[in-house]
Amino acid sequence: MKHFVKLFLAIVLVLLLAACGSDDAGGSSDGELADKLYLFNWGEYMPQEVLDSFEEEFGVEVVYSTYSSNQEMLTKLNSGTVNYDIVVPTDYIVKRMINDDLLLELNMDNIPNFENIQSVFHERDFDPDNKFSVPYLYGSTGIAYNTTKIEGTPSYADLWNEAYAGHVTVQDDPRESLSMVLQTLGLPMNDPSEEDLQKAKEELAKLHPNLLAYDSSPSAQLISGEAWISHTYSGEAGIAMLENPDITYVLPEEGGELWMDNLVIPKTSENQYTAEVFINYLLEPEVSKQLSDAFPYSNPNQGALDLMSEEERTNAASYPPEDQLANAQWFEDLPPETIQTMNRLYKEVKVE
Amino acid sequence: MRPKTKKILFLFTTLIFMFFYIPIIILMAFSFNDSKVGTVWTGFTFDWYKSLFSNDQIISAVTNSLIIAVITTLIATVFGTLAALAIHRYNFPGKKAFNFLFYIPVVIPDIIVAVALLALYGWLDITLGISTVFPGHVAITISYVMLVVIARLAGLDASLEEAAKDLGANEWQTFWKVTFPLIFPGVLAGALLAFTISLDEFVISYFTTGPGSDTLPVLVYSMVRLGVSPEINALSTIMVLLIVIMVVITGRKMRVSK
Amino acid sequence: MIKNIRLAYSMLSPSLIWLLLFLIVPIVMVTVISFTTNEGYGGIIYEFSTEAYETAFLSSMYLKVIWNSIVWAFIATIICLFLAYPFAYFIAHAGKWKNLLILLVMIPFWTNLLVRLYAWIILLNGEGVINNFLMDLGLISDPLTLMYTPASVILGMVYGFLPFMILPIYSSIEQLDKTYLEAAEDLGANPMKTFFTVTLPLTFPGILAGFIITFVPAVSVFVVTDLLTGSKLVMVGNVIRDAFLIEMNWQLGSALSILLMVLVLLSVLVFMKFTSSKDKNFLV
Repeated sequence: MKHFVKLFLAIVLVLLLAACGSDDAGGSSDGELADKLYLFNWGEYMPQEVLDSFEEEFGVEVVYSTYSSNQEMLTKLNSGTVNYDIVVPTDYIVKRMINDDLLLELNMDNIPNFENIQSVFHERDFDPDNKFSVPYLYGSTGIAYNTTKIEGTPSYADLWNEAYAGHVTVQDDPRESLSMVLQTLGLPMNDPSEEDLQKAKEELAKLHPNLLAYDSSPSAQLISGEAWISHTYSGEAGIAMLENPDITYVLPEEGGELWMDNLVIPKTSENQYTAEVFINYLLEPEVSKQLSDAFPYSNPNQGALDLMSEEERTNAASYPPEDQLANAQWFEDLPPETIQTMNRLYKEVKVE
Repeated sequence: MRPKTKKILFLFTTLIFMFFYIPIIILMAFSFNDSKVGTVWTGFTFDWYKSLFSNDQIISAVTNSLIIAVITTLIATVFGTLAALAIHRYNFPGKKAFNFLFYIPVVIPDIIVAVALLALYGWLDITLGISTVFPGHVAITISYVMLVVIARLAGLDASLEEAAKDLGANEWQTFWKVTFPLIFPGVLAGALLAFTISLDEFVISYFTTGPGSDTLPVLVYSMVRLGVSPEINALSTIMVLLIVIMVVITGRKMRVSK
Repeated sequence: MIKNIRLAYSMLSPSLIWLLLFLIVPIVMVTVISFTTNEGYGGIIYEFSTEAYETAFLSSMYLKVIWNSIVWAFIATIICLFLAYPFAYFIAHAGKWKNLLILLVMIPFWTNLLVRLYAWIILLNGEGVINNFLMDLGLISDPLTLMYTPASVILGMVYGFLPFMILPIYSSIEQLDKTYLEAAEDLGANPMKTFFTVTLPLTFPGILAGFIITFVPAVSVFVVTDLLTGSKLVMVGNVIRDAFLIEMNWQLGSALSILLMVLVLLSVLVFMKFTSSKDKNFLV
């Protein structure tokens, strides 16, 4: 009967309209704030209070979703199914995104607070003119450990120590965990050959039975005492240190990894101006301090540093001593074949 | 059954019920635990419930879940009931093939439906959000509604409809005055089933939801991945209690209608 | 007659179009994507390539993941069957308690899988309830590793999907025609023999239905391994999820999805072949 067909067509039409309608809901021109801002950031990296006070002050609702690796963020972005206004890639990923023409050029007139960023963090080689990116927080990947369970200062090699079996965690990400193994083996983490990766995979396979879990946010396990020694981000260690005084953080003698996460605006964003206002807001000293108070990563914002106590400025996780930093390495981007090989080898470790 | 067999089976059944319920009860108990970490009892508190109700993310996830479940139920119930009537009443070429089509959502793993929808949306450049979640939910629930309504139709006395026609009612009148009231309990049961499946559904939502439109199960998943926290216990407790209420109400309804 | 056929088609058409748009077309899309070329960092180039299938078949790892998933899901399903049958049998014979008991099965059935798995994390983890309890009793001095093993995956699946096995078996036992049982008894069969020659064969459709609706979600689940093994173990569901959502390798994810779908449909067809039951409504 025709009724049903008509009804059906009507429903489909309504749905299509609804789908299209959500597309152009938030478009804003220069100088006019949008209603909503879509932020895609790492998990455990953005305190809700900051978003709430931004909404209160500017009347813009920040829709916040999280990811747990650069790969995951890029995949979402490339799938063509989301329009984020701000994402927070790591330095070497910013470079790739610039090369792939994924980013909008920032209008620095809208971000005067950029001058609060320490000058060492201006014009880094991944974005030589700071045309596309503004530093968010930086930090390192090293070892968080429980001083009541671990004797002495551990290095990466101690992750393999059988005395700690069932209490070890490593980052749940092919690039991060394999880079750690490469460093432990003394192999180049930014230019590994096929054989290097194969060796790293075999070592990781030996580590596997020792592990409690692959976990990129092990702070809860560190706090509860279930994890004794974790290959993790400095800030995750910092979160655990706030709750459990037995936890401390060290960059291992093998090196450890350094990185800096940056605020960028993807090309698909329709709210560039609002995004820039938000970025500028995050660079306010008080706001920036709130970020690193909640998640104790290293803050590149001089204004925020000036507000910190001596104790906060010498926190072992956020600001490791100079001598530990000497060995640490920055991540560099790898060719796609190497990344795919790493993904595959990493899965093989878990399957076998 | 022999008394001895009965005794053994009774013991066995009790054990299975304990297996079902002990973990859930412990989970609920620890939602009132004062300690933020670990599973050692340190004292009674309602704090986790308080912080739950002031958590915007949870409130918006509940809203999203309800919106999606309501839309899904409306569409799936209407479409599924129509399909059930067609399949029950008429013989037409290709009926077997259609029947088979309706079984596909039941026998295909949900992750495949989920990635397939994501691929479709990616290819069409459709922005993910609430409006991309419910099409998948409808696709998997239509079949269940249809099966429930067909079951009801099968138990229907066809002579009632014939009597209505003999008394001069046309097809449209017969449907609304006779058939529909008779199958209504089945339609309602199908709707309830669709609503519950949609509320509970995780995999398809996880793949097809967009920023700001997480459903409750998707939010629970991302919370659980961060580790044990009494807030999740509190949220879980509320979810379990809602299910208990719903099951008890439908149980009562069913007994009354019998 | 012709009018009726047209009426039937138009009543079916909303559902058909919906299933076509949001089920069949997407699955065809996945099939197409599985044969396209990977641009490197993950972009899809629409040129024919069998690379994804070559990767899936040549690397023993992917076959092993699928094999592991099937074995674990199969073990879990069999365990469910052995737990569910006596349980359902007892409930179906529980007289006036029947309705209350089946209500008590509906509660775990409808409680979200993630919530129920989370309950087990609280019980099983190193600082969890079971370990604390055993240590308080002085039975163990160090926490046992209860999570993070294949056994915990199977436990999670059994706990998660047991109600799926119970309900169809229960309804098939409940609908059993009592006259057959009486006939068997009258002919002198003892209860044991009656059970194996009459009850079991007659409730076979329920067993098959339970088997299908337990095995299908179990073989493709990814949250059990995620939550109960700390990502140390992976099933094919995890690999497909990661390929689509993390590694941006839709070709490989699609190829594995197609393989999984074919395997599941084949096994369902094999299960179905076992039964000559005309009762197609067994899934409700």
